[in-house]
Amino acid sequence: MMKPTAEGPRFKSKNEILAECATVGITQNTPVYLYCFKGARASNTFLALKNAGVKDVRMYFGSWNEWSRDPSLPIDEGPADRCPLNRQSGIKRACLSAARRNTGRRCNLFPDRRSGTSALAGVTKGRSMSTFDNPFDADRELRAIGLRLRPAWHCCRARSRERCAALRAGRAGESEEKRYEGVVASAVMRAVFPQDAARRAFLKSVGASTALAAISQFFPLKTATEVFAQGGAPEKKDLKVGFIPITCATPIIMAAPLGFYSKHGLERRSGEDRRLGRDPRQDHQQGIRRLPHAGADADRDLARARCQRDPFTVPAIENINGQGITLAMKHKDKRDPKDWKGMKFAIPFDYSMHNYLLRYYLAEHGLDPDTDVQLRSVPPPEMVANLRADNIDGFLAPDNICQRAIYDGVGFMHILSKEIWDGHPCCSFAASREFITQIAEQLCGADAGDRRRHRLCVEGRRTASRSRKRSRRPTTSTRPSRCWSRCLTGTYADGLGGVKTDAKRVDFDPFPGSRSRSGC
Amino acid sequence: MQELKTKFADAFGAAGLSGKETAVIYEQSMNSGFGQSCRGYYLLTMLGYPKIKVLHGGYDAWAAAGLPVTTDVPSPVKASFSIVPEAGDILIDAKTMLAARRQSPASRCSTCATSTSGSAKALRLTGRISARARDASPARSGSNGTG
Repeated sequence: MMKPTAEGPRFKSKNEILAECATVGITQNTPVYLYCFKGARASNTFLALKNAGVKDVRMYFGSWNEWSRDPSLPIDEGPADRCPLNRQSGIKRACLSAARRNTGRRCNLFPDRRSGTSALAGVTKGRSMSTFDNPFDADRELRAIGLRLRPAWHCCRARSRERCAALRAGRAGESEEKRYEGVVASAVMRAVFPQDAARRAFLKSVGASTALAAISQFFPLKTATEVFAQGGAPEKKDLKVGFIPITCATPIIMAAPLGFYSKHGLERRSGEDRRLGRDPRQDHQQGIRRLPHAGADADRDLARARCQRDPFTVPAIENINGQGITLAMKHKDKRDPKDWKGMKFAIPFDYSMHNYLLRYYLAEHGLDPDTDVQLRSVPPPEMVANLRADNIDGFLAPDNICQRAIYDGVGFMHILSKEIWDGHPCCSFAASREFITQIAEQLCGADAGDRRRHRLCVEGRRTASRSRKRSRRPTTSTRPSRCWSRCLTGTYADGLGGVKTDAKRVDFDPFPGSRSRSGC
Repeated sequence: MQELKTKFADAFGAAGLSGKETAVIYEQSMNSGFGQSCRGYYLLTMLGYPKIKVLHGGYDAWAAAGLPVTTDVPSPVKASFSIVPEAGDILIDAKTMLAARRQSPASRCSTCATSTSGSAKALRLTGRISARARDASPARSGSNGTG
């Protein structure tokens, strides 16, 4: 109900307060009962609501001070393991286990630089191709595939058993090994050349054997073939997945409470990357792979170095949309990007989708992103504070960061990234190549879970938002659950007194651009 | 409750409020005392005092605007005003909260779990429509319990 201003904290305007209320279903005619700890902050809200014209506002003056002392009064708590009282020990346990298991493979979620580039170059849809055709035949068309990011081994795995059986029957003369090799190579070729014309041109110019050799150079065809042929249950059941607590990570977070991994015999231990902005050297000593999101140069270099040593691949895109341009309140009249000359914007890091989208948007409005504005890499968790401190004029950031700025009254939503490019890929689920080749089978299993999760996220947003609220609250204590639900449900205050509804503010699609084939 | 109301009414009366004056309540700034001025506003409203205002931005805003200040200690003439019993309806007790909670237990708990620290605050009691007030400056102050 308050917002910081240059002169100190002030009440939000009547319209802003009504907009905040509207996002949780409170209108001027709703009876509202307020409480806090012992009545002072609730008094503040009382005045704000009264001033905004809410007719029936009352206060439970005893508040928590009284309620919590009476054991007969009910209290809703989160799940036992998420109870704040157990929080510290929980974190400690997580750190210990991270340190202990630092030799194990780990997957990280970060906004994908590859999706950023390739996506901006245009989502390339190829033409018809079949898994079982000879991929090194220049005269044959391969079957459609969505983004070039789509992992080869995923497609291999995605073939149904029936198709495999039919293949066996149809090509009885061929050795099984040879057939599998063909399937894997075909998938790789599809992934490398989503456009058939390019593949054919490539094959015609270098020849099939050279092409095979070239592909083998950077993709472990042999290993992948072996893995594909083996099939069966996952070997490594215990996965550790790192993520940054932003809306994009919803599928990863929601998987555990919704039981998708257990269905596939997997146990995935998701761990929020709580180390953002901490000392990178310490993490290095502990063998923790830092995320590029972390921002500081040292961190990025470290992350890059590690990525070079241990290349990453992207099995699935976590989400689409889900970002936005937030501007400081003082710019509420500067809604035309042409007026933004000389402004400073924050982006998560140089190679992020955010950077590309912002540059695209600025350029579209006639500004040179390199010379007309300043773009700074700022870790998203620090963006709101920087906006408040007037260090930056705005930012393009993942969601809940944008909403947090609105929640705090320091900024407003200028435009959703969805409005810049509807359906753009955002964060990706990445895993090291070594990890994939070693336990591809397992990831395939996990991948099935991924897709179900995505479907659930789309279908049951509200539920997802609620369960997420419940399960994530303690570890995201600096990001109010209201911000989460507003991002996930798409009903949000825009910071200027308006309430907007956009169910696809953040959306979930593991393979953007290939929606029709998501059942693959 | 009546005893408390009388106590507060006497205190405000001693400060010179007779019901004719406009009571302006202020504090240092809007967040230094966690909404003390708003609390005064609430109490006077509850007593049924007719004219109440809060100085938006507090003393800091007043001083920043260059408005006159004094170090003289005022000596108000003691007065009194009558308590309006119905005005007290804005104050509800645990029983009412419980009833509201029971009335529709599955309804929305609008703004629970805000960013304030402290274990008690992260728990929630789901009211019918219960808005949980939050700090003017969330979680930074470290002054738990002053709310």
